Order: sequence, then structure tokens, then C-alpha cells
Amino acid sequence: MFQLTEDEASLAKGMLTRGDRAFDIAYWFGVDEAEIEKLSDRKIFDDAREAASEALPPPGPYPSIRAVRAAISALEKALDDLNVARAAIGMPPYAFTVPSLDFDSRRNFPATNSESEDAPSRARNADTNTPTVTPPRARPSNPKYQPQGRKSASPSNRPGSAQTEPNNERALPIHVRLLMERGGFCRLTLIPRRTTEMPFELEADAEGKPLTLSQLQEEWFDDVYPEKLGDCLHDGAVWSATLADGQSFRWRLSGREVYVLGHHDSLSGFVSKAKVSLDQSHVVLCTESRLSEVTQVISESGSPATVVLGRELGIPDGWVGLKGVIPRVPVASTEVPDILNVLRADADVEILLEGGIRIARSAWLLGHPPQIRILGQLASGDETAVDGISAQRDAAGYLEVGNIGELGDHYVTCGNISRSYRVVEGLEQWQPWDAYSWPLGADQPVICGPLVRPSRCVPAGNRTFLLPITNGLVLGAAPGEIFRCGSRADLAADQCVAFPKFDPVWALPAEILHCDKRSIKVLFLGEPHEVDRLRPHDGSHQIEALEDVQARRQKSREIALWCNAIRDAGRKGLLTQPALDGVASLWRQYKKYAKSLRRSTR
Amino acid sequence: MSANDLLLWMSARGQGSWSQFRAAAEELHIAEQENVSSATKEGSVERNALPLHQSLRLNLERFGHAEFFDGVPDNDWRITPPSLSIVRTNDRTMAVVAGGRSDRLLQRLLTASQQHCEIETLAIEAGPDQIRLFSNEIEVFEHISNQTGVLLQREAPMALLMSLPAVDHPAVRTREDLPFGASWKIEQFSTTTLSWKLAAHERALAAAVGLFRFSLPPYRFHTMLCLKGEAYRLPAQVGKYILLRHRRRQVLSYDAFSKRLSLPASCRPPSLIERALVLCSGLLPVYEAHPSSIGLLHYSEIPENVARVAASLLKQSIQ
Repeated sequence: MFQLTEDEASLAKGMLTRGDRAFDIAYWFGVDEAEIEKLSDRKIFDDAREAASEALPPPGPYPSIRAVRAAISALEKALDDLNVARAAIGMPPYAFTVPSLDFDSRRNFPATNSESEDAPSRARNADTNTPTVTPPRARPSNPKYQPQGRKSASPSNRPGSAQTEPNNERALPIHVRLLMERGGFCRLTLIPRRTTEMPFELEADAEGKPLTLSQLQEEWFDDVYPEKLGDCLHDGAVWSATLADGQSFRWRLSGREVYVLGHHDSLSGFVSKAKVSLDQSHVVLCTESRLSEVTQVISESGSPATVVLGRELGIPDGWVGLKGVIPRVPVASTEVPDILNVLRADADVEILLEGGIRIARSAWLLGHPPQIRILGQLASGDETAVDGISAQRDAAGYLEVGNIGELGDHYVTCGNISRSYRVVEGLEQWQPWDAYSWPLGADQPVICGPLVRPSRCVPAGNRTFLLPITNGLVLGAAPGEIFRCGSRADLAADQCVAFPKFDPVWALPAEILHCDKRSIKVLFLGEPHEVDRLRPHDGSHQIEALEDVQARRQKSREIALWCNAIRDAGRKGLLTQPALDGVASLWRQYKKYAKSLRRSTR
Repeated sequence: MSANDLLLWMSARGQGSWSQFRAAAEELHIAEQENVSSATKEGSVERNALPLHQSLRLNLERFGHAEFFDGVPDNDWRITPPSLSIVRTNDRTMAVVAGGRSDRLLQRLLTASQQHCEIETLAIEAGPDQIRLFSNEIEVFEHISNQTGVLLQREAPMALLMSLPAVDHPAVRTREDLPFGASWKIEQFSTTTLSWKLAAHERALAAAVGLFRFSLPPYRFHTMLCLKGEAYRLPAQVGKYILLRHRRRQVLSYDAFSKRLSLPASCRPPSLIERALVLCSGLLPVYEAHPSSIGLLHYSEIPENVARVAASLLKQSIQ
């Protein structure tokens, strides 16, 4: 496994401060993400100085190796074509060549032993500009986890080096996830990483077996449930996928006998991590043969008693889960590499932002800020502060300060480490929008949640009325305000929906002259106490205000329909409902007004 | 953390992609809380079959808090505007609060409501709390709407149903070829057992009328209605009711006394019809298990006219 140099660590620190994702930083330097997490946690290169912002590389996400290679190939081809064209018109070819990636020196592109010794790659022949074909790689054997010893001064001396990386594409990690279920049962899965250039779904090869990976989040594929999960955990796994355009990807789980699973910022349950952290709750997975040693190391860390999860609760055969591992005291790692060192917590201080409602990468919703938790052992003299104001932590490590949820930027410091976040406002205004609509006759009602509106309606208010199917003609107070409900012959409904674009006052029978006046009434749709407000308006000025001839004709027609409907209902002798004096009086005013208006427009 | 936080998160963002929704469900650690919950109501029907994020999605849709769509990049879901769905019962009027929420909006709603009506907050499994307001006068809700800016939908269940096409409307299905390839698992819906049974591709090709489910686990599912040599893609619930109509099988029952509409759990109505039924009471259906047959879903407080129109849309008759 590749590790950072001190110069790279300086740059990586600067990138972390800038807010770059750990995954992007790891990708840029060609190291494992755990390496960046260790750097972030000050477990390595604690003394390295943070690089200045102008010295930093551009922020991620970065193009894939395949994309870079494809770009180089395209440039080479373009140069070839250009030289052919120049030769055709008697011009000399360009002397320069497209610079190629140095696959041996860039750790993002480590050469395999076979590539570096037996099969010269295209890049190694870049100086001669003679493309050669890289032979297909044999399937690599499953990787084994390399346990770590105590931190050494020189990162380059640590176990794992460029020579041990078997492939020339950096493998994405496969994490282990444990989800607690009802009744104490648990579900153990493998959860592979995803990059933004990957499709939402892809077919992978899981050691000869087809495997469909589907996006869970931008940075993760969905959980995978291998048949022989116990073997995968012990022996490791390598999955690969090649897309139709030639892009290929690889994922890797390093086999081991002890896994540490802890809380994750963006995934629920317990997710595999490099090692335990002080005062945090973990689940430790170990093989049955290692159980006694693991239990011993856990007890040395001051952890309270753990709950054993066995096969009957969903743990694979040959494995045991220990839930509730909470190291309380730091324990030094052994000098010699030892898998059990993952159970020995460092004394490093960590700032955690827990809970709340996070609506962007480092932004929390106003009213739902994160809880700030400081873990680890503070050195004497180290102070904890939020926005420069000194803060005390409680027994569980949470800071007790009042300003952490205020709108704006916040800055948490603890000794010489820091972390920032923002509190922002979310949306406060939501307008109706067209979610569903079907061609149902003349009206095309639009549905949005529980709301039903007329189509193309101005998003202000809601004017949907349910009327008896017998009274499908709706009139407003102004002449011309008339709406005829569409009927649904396919429904056993005794109602119809009306979307008048005015305040409706009356609902008249759709067929006024042919209705049974003993049972059908003129329905008053307003409020009885608002009778005075609902007297007929003068609508003649509406026509004069219209410039378009067609619009004037249409308006005149609507006014005529409005008048005729009232007059027909009057001639028919329809009664009003509710049977109130005020309502009957208002109806008489409408009849009188319609009669006079009709006369005046003849 | 709870589904309430998820709705606040969705409301704060307005809209987003499916992966963002799943990430939020993960990040809010809803799974952990919901999984240890001992309350089991309707959710248990789906909990065995569906992952939690799907139950959350369906419940958000059922109450009309948000709409979810397929294949709209970065807009797989969108929050609906805050609304009061008004339903008149015999003795009083109820308003179900749906759509986008924020702390401020909820505070405004509480302030405007507490003097004039009764407020009830119900915990929903795999869904945000359901807020119901009760009053004797509908004008109270108009007043609340004016004060808070929350939109009002009168007679929401009936308005929804009257705006929906029947299950056999041509606009609900799209003509498509049957999926091909040996790796598809094919199942046919049986109107006798009301369940899916394994079938062969040839059977789908030859069926005069049949509903087939093509699945390529774990993520690809197509429901195809084969009708006289043509194949149509449509939602499974719609297809089931079309098939039930062809077989003249009635599965709905309505008890006018208790105002309860019941149907087999495997024949859940299409989502918008179900939304209308759920909004009648503001409650999810209750699942009643039957050891020897398929369990039943009971929708409560359904007025007879609503039940009748829902049955018309499903091409069923009320028994």
C-alpha cells in the first residue's frame, strides 16, 4: 500500500483545510483513503506544515486514469493525423510528441511487476512513440491485510510498498457494514466505494461470478451479500468491471482476521474503519480462533463489557461479533506489526460533528446544528473553543456552548486542530407544481401532493370545488363569470370537480330547462353572511377594456351565457338553496340584473 | 433522528436525486431507529419485503408530502407545497397537514391553530409524524391558511379521485416489447391466489390476457400486461386491477356502518388512489393477517361516495 511523503502530507493537509473530500485527496496522491483519514486525525505527519493555498492542486473530483489515458490517446491520434496532413501538402511533421504518463514514478499508476519487467507498457515506450499492447493481466490473488506496527518516523519504511501493489489501477476499497435489525439480529454486508464517473449501475466480476452493483449514494454502491461472506472476510476479495467504452474498475477487500466497525458520517450502521477510536462505540468482528486474544486487548483498553453476536444473530460461520467496544484508555501499538493493533486506540484528539440535519457537505440546517464532540486525551494547556469562545466538554466529550446553532460559519478548535461548519437556512417557500395530469376531457386537472388544481393555473390560491353532478354550471358575481364542469361518465360519482377562475356564487343545473325543479335547486356557494359582498358587479367595462376583437367577442358571448343561465333558471322557477331570505333576495337581484343587462346589450 | 428529520431535510432542499434521498436516509440513521422500533402496524406488510428507504418513500408519497419520479436526473423527488387537506365528517371537519415543513412553518401553524382547533400529532412508522387538525367549522381552516400561507384543498380525497383516470384508461399504460433474454425471472399474476407464480416467456407471448412480472434481481423489475398479442408496461397495481376486471373478480368490500374499505394486501390500489383513501382519515391502512389466506388492508373513515368512486376507478364494484 502506498503512503504519503512529508511534502505530500503538507499538501494533503492544505487540501483538507480547503474542504476537499478525503476520497479525492487519496485519489490525487494514489494512496488509500485510510491514509488521509489518519492524516486528518493527526495520526501521521503531525509535524508536517500545512501547504499554502496557492501551492495546492486543483480541487477534485479528478478524472479517472482511463479518462486521462483516453485523452492522451486522442492527442496522439490527432498528432498523427496532423502529421499525415502536413506530409500531404509537403510540410515537415511536427517534431514534438504528446507527453505521456510516467507509470513507474507516479504512484497513482503503479506498474505491476509483469508490466515493469516483462511487458513494456505503452507509456514506457513513450520516448520512441511506439505504441505497444499491454497483455491482459492474470487475475490477482486475493489481497491480505498488512497489519501495522507502531508509527515509525519514516513513512517509507512502513510495511507495504509500491512493489506489493499488484495492479496498475488503484483499487477502490470494499468496506464491511453491519446493520442492527429487530430482535438483536444483524445484517453483515460488503459495501463497495463508487466514484462520480461510474455509471449508476454496472455489472462486475466477483471472482468469476457476475455481480450487479447499483448506486446507493454518489460515493457508494449498494450493499452486496456474498454467499460465502465468512471466506470473503478472511481471504479478501477482488472485484472488477469493464465498461463497453473500455473503462475498467477494480475493488478490493483485504482479508484479515479482525475488523473494526464504527459509526460513519454518511452511512448508517457500523462501517469498517482503520482502527478503534477513544470513547466511540464499535463492533469488532473476529474469527473464532482469535476471540480470546481480541477479548484480552479490548479489556486492556478499558472498554465496558461487550455483547457477543454469533451465527444465530446473523454473523457468518467461523466469525464472532463483539458489540459495544468503547475504548476508554489509549494503548500503544506493538513495535512489530500485529493485527490486534487495530484494537489499540491512539491518544489523538478528534473533533466530531454528530447529529443534526446536514443539508450540504459542511452545512447544517438552522435549528438542527451538529453536536460537537471532542474525543481523545487533550494535552495539558490545550484549550477547546467554538468561534473563539472557550468551551468545556462534558463526560461524554460533548461541548456545552450556546452559539453552535447560530446562523453562519463556525470554527471549532481544540489544541492545534480545528474543524469548521456552517449553519444555513433551508427553503421556506414552496409553490405548487405540475406533478400528474391526464387528458380527461376539457379539464386537465393537475395533481401535486393532495392539491388538485386546474392546468396552467397561476400558482396562487386554490379554486377547486366539488359540486353535485346535477349542478355543474357555476356562476360568479360578474357577468361573464361562468364555468361548466366536465362530467365523468366512467365514474359512479354524484359529484363533479369545478375549477372556476373566479369566486363562485351560484351552481345552476347543467341542463336548466330540462331539470326537475322539485328536486334541483340553485345552490348558493358563498357564505350567507357575505351576501352583500356577492351582489352582481357591473361587467360592461370589461369588454371595453379588451383591445383584441376576438377576446371582446368571447367576453360578449360569456356575458350572454351568464345572463341567459340566470334568466332561464328564473323562468324555470328554480328555488334557491339554502332556503334563507338573504340568499333568495340575492338571487332576485341577479335575475333583475341579468334581465337589464341583456336588454342593454341587444 | 427520525423520519421527521428526513422530511425537514427534503423540505429544506426542495428537490433532489434518488441517491441523495438514500444518502439522507442513511445519514440521518433512520434505519437504526426504525429497526429497533417495536411498534408494528401497517408497515409490517412491507417491512418484510421492502427496505426501509422504500417504505419511507411510499409513505411520503401516500400522504402527499413529496412526489417521486423515475428517470428525471437530479429531480427524482420533489417536495409538495404545504397544504391542509380538508375532509368533512359527520360531526366535524378534519384537516391533514401535508407537504413541505420547516420549524418556522410548524410554529406558525401551531400558533394559528391552537386557539381555534384541536391539534393531534400521530407517530407513523416509517414516515413523518402525521398532524391532524379538527374543528367544527371549515372557516377556521381558511383562517389558518390565510395566516400561515398553507394552501387549502377542500374535499381532498374526492377531488383527487375525480382527477384520476380509471385503471383501464389508455394513458396509464405504454406499449412496449417484452423484455428478452434468459436471465429474466418471469412471474404471472394469478387472480385465483392473488399472488405471483413462475411462468415461461412463451406463456407471456401467447397469453390472451395476462399480467407478467419480469425481474432481474436485485434492481430491475418490469410489469407487463399482455393483451391480445400486445404488451404494455404499467404499474403493477394498475395491471392487477385490469386483470381482475377481465376475470370479473371482485376484491373490494365496503362496510358502510364502520366506513371501512377493505381489500387484499397483495392488491394495493395505485398510489394516487391510495393517497385519496389515506387522506380520508390521515391514517395508513391497517393490516389484518389471515393465516390461511392473503391478509387484508383496511382503510378507515372512507365515506361511501369516496369508496364508490375509488371502486369505479379500479373497475370494481363495492360489495
